[in-house]
Amino acid sequence: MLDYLLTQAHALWAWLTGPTATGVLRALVTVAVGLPLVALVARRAGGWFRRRQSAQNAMLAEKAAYYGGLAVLTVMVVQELGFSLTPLLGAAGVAGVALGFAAQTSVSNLISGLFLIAEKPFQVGDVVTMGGRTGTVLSIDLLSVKLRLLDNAYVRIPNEVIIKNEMANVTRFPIRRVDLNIGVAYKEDIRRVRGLLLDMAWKHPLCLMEPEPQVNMVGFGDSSMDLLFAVWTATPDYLGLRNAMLEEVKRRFDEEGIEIPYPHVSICRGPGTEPFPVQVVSPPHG
Amino acid sequence: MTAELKGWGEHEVPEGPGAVWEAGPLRLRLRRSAGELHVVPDRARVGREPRGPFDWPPEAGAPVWSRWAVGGVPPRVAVLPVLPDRPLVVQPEHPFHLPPGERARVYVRVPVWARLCLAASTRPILLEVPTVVLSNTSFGGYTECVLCYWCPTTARRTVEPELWAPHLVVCPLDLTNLSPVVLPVARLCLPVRHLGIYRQADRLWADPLDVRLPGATDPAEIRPSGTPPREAEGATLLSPPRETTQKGLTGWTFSALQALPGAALQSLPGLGGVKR
Repeated sequence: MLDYLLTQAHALWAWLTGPTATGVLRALVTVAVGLPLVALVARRAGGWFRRRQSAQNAMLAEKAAYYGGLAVLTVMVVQELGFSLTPLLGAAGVAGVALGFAAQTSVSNLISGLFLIAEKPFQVGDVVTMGGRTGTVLSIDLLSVKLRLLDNAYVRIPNEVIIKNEMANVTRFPIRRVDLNIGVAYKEDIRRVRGLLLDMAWKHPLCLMEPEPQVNMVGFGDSSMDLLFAVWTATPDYLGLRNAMLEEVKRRFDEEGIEIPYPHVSICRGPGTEPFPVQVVSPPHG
Repeated sequence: MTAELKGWGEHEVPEGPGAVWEAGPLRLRLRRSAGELHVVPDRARVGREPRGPFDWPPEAGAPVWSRWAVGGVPPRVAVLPVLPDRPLVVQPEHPFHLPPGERARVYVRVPVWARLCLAASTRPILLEVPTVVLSNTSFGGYTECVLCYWCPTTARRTVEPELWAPHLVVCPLDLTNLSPVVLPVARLCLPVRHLGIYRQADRLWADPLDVRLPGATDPAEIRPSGTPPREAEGATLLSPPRETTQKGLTGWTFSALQALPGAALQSLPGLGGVKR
């Protein structure tokens, strides 16, 4: 019995002092030291870029440093465990082909993500409209873009979808034009209406004086003369000015007696445009 | 009885009914209560009493008192004039032309902002309010431009008594045409953040700006003098600039918008309104 225990202890000691155990130990130390180091380097890289460049570049730098560090760490650990990288890389190549077929969508998203990062149609913090949804860009990752919608919903949009479809960046430029479609009755004096609208624009502090506000006649509608009232504003003030101007138009038109018409229907009988005769009769008694 | 505080500078806010400070269309109402300073800017003067901080629901459009806990400091405040926080686009009512090599001095009146500070040694800023709310405008192109305030001016060539008002600062501009062509002075973009304000008796002066114009489409070199104008003898510095600069500023001082191609909408000829 004692002999057996001694043999086992000797075998254990031999294993512990052998190349396998020291390799495992070194691998553990590499992971224990390497992981925090990689995280620290990634955070520092992100901070450095954040101070000098945009939030998006900082996020990219942080992720590149982190995943690059992880890759180096993995190679080091594999070598410490005594595996040769050559057959592993060969196997990884074969597995990569298989995975590539299985993960075409992911690869497509990945490549689309690289295009998005290179093309920079938007950056973290921009407000964009994609597929009818408008929201603030939270992050641009290799597989998807994350948005916070105006109603505070969180939306993940695959990069492939963004590359394939039309998107609009509504905060790209410092100023925006607010377009208001306004209809007035045919009896109104169009010059007077135009003067009133321009006066409203010039008196509102959020409305830019340059580029100048404009009132354009768009056409003759079924019930109204249709005007396009276009005013410029700083991009962050877009919604505020839009709401304010709509309210102001209604208030001023009411004050000045300018009619905002709604669709009228005239029922005619016989020649010309004589009105359809309507006779009000009393309900039968009893 | 509400006390009336006169002019720019330090004032004591009495306990009780408080005090009123005025400059041009702006009126600041101040009061002290239980170690707090309450302030409300009142520009409309519609006669409505400001709402208290705890009044609920808030009345739409009514001024609301702002509160600061200032129990540990003496009951004194300083109301100082500062120039607006954005550049100003100045459009002379009657544009004039500057021949090549000519130099001209024009005087532009700018409505100041009232900066309310505690009259302590560090002068912590409580709030800043414009005495006149100027319209926004932009200067530059559609894709890259600077947000500015719009300031119509008479751009007078001489200092006249009607220039002066308590809420207006006069900024002298020295324009020099370095280009070989006649320059129309129709619109100027002034970096007023870099200008200090000087007081000479009841008059407010800003740093003179030296504007050298190499051409209508080239950026101008703008240099604040950092000293009171020569007309303001004995003037003393009342407010330093928001930002100081050792070097000259380079900027598109003349209107670049007119040269921009392709405005998204074209106005119909002869149907435009009249600018206020």
